[in-house]
Amino acid sequence: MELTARTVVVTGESEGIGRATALQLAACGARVVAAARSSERLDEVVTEAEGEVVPVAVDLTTADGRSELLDAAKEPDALVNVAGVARLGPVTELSDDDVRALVAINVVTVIELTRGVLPSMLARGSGHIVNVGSVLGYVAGPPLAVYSATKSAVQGFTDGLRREVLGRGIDVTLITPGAVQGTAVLDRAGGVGPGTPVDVLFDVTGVRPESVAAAIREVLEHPSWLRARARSVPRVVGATRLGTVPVLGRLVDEGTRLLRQRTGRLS
Amino acid sequence: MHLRGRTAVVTGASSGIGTETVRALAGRGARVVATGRREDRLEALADEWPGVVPVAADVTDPAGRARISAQAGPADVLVNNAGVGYFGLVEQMTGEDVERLVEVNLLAAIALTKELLPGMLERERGAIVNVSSVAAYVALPPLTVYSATKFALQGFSEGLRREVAGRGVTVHTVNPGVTRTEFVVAAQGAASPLVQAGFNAAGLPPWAVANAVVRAVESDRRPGYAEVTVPRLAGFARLAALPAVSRALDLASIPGRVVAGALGLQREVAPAGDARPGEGAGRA
Repeated sequence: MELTARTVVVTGESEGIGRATALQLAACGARVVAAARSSERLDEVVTEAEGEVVPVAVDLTTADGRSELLDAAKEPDALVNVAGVARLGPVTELSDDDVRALVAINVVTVIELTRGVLPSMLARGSGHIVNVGSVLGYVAGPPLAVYSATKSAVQGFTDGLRREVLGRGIDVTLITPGAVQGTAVLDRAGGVGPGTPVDVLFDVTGVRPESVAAAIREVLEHPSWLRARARSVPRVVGATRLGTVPVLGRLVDEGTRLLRQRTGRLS
Repeated sequence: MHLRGRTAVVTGASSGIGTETVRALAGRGARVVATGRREDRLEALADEWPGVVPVAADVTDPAGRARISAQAGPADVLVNNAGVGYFGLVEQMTGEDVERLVEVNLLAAIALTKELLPGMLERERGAIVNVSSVAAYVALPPLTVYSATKFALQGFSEGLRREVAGRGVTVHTVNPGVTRTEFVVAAQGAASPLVQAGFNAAGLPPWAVANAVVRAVESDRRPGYAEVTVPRLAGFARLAALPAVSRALDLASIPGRVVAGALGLQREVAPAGDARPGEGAGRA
């Protein structure tokens, strides 16, 4: 799809992957309708963008917020679901509200925005939906068990959705990043500010958010069922899907158990 | 874990897999807290088996979960079985449909786990069994959103298993294929062509799934019981994660759509009579 003059909805665009995606798509000539909670950060992106970015400051976990976004976008050509949060910590230390918040933004919002754009895309017989999952959707692990669960849900939803609309003009792509620099996705409340060990780990091992954005731009420009239905960034982390093979899954189980015995703690 | 004298909590106990699981656990000598929304059925179970404690409660309600936890006392086994099915394309769903699936199939299971897990960790003894589905390995329309919730439950179980590894608590999933329960009736209505065509009758008996739950609890950390598919052969559904198989399923979905349409699978029919959704009717 030539991006010039196309309308693309990007969620979670105040930082990290969402921000980089909005900037890259705008630079390619797309009309980017960008949603995030923080209007100041949105305004920064609008100023920085070399192209058209329409900022919509809303809470996407509410039905009102979602309709406001979709109203601003009219009938978008593409939807890129980036918005997501993670919260580090053992399951027992998350509150019910924490869990609910994670599921609301990472899962329900993705499904609901998809439901919102599907009718017009199906009517036109064209459109592209890109969902950002995570390698943790392939291999779940502590201290991100609930986050892993939400990303597994995104993966299952994306698979099923692709099979629903295949042959009806709509492309569906799953992007699964490994570690991403900047840890924008990690909840700062969990003691994960800049300079903390987790932050340093992500900076050393992670890819830049721009790399993930580039993958998203690429699949939007060249949608292909054959080559662009699922893409890991970097490509090599796609091997994590082997975690579903029972023997390998068992190895990870034993690995985490031994690690706990050695260090006493995992998170 | 030997079950004699242990306390188990089973959700969605008023029908299908849940009822059979209560019977199987009680048969091994466990004290079973049977929860569900249909009190009469739970009472009948309690009359049938000594050691069954009926607790009519809605697992999606914090007050309901608190009541379950209070009645159970220190629980050794938790079977998160309550689940709700939905046949229908994403474009045909309402926001409430999505909300209800996520609430019952995912959030309730996580919340009840959070309620009972601290006690298990303290006593360094416990088993959590999440009744998932083969749909947790392979997402096919018209079960897309149902699959998404089961993918999530699967990911949660895997992460939790690794989180509590080596602390005396084991985490399992039991993943049945089509089972003879009220699942399809609840999701599709008794008049659905699928029900009429005997789709249910072709499925597994619920007791086979219940036996898998019991085997998982008794297995401790023996290999092969972290994820138990019923029948075992259905475990090959995991291959759907591999790109080549996934592509083949994509292609198969086009003729599959035609067949599903002809069977009336992609149209939601109001739940019929007694088979209320949200009641742990079963799995597909």
